[in-house]
Amino acid sequence: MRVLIVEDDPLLGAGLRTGLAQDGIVADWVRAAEPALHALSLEHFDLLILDLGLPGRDGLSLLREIRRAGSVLPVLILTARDAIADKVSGLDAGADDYLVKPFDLDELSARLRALARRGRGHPSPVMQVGDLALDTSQRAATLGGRALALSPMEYTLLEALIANPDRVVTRARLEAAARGWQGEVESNTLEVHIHNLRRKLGRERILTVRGVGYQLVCVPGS
Amino acid sequence: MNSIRRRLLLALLGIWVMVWVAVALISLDRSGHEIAELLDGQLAQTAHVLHELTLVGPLSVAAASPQRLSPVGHPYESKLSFQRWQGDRLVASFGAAPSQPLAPTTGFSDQSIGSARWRVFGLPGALPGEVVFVAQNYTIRQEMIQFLTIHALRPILWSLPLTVFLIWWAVSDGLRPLQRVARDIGRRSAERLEPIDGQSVPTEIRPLTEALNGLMERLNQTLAAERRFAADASHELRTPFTIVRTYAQIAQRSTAPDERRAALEQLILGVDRATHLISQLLTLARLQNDEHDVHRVTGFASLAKAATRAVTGRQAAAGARSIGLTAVLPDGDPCVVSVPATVLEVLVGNLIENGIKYTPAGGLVRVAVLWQRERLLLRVTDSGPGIPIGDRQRVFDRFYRPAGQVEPGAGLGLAIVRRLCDRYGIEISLGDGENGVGLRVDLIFPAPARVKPHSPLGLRIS
Repeated sequence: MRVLIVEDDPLLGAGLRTGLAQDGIVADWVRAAEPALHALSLEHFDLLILDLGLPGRDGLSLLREIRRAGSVLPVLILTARDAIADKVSGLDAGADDYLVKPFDLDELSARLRALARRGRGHPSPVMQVGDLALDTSQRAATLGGRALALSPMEYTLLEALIANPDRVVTRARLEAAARGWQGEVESNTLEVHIHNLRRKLGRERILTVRGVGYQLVCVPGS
Repeated sequence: MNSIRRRLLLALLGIWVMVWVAVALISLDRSGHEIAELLDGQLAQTAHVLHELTLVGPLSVAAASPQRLSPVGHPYESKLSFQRWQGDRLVASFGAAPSQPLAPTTGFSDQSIGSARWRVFGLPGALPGEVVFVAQNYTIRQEMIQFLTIHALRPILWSLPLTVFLIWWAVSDGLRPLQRVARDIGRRSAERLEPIDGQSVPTEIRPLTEALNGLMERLNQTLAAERRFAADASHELRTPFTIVRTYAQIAQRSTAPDERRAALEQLILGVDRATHLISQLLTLARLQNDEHDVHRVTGFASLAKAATRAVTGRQAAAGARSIGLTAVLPDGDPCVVSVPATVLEVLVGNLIENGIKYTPAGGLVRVAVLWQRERLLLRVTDSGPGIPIGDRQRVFDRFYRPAGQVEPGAGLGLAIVRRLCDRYGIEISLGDGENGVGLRVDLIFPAPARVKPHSPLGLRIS
């Protein structure tokens, strides 16, 4: 799961990134509306955490623009504005959730996971393809009931794949998901992690679509 | 007790009593005159009648003492005496007449006979030396005047309680609008400060209600400002507290010692931010509360000294960011301004901190004190990004942070500077820094009051 944080305060932005990383959520962080639009136009994000009180262009105006452009990206507003009217206008502008500062990191992570599930159209925290199951609330995967030992990177990649069953997930998107863990991903790093995943899951479960990306498939009978 | 009702009641009663007593006295005086005229006329008539009667012959004993003659009569009758003189001879008399003539002359006169005073009328007869005297005791007149006095005053005394009640009622009725206004104001709470309806109050108390309405308007504004300030302050405090909470939780959940140490360091930075913000908010709140305070702190202080101290105190902070911080001051001139030292320190300190905050590493913040046309000027220049012309007025607004600003801050520093400047009559002007780079803030202090004991003409300047 990859999140974009729009937060102008440097200390809080960095803290959010660190805190979410503890929960296995990869976050990119920008400090104003314009860089946020730029990042959204370039890369895929699963979620947007939006502060309203930004210097210059307001968070609400950014949200309206995103929605006007037809984006279905789940948006959580994270702000110091606690008035009912602010919450109403925030949600009505197209936000999916609204959390007032100061907040609890566990609660924030849980809300982000819930929003991501909804965004995938799969509200259960457990995603399943055949006998492969991924519990997003526990960040744990099981294969035929047996727990799999996955690195954070492997979990992130598997989550991206299982969220789109029987569909090709592009390399770019997988690299974007991985970038949060490693900064710049070298061209063969993705292959290394996919290789490791295949070793743990079984070769036939992850197909390589040459020049496009990878696809998680249901293996019948296994 | 200072009561309008009591004052009006006493004044109206006093006037009422005075008028009535004056009317009574005047009418008594008039009545007395009329009674005197009337009785004098009767006396003269009696004299004529008796004169005619006694021509026939001396009066019988019975006639001389009318009470004995008939029980039918009048109590005033006995107060009458009669004498008829023929030369030196008393021809006829009755009543309490003495043996001498009742009066030395004819006509009306007042005489004392024995212990009593008499009104005497002497009528010269038809014959030479013949005189008829008729006298009436004065007690009759006094009794009649007494009687009239009592009868004139009695209704007034009777009506006194009723009058007191009516005046009291009228005064109370007149004061009712005042009570209504007082009740209206008394019912108000601090939340309900809408103006009093000025149309329904009498013209006499309209100045009072207008003054109150003005006061309430000012109170409303003050309250609104306070509420806005409290809301803004609580909003701004959320960010540092969120930082503290977030890093505390990161440290709590972390298993890696390095990550935990880093989180705790950030947590301390967050606490410092909160502390700084609170002290700035308190400064601002104090300034806001003193807005109409006539007892504001006044004093004189050396601008040069304040600038030196502010620059020295912030060298470390500037050095930590590799920013040069310099001061240029006039030689040997303390540059005294009519602003207290504590205020100068806040002013210069805030401007320098602002400069340091927005100047990139390797930049320069300069502080200069100079004279400009008899006025002292404090100039703080930095080599930061500057402020676009369109934003220059708004940067003084509380919590305002221009677009593109990346430094953390609540936007209070310049708001504090602006308020202090407003209070001490200091002009602020913003401009471009040196060579069009960065920001220049000029504080132009009011011209010091020159002490001139004598003008060139030798006249004292008052």
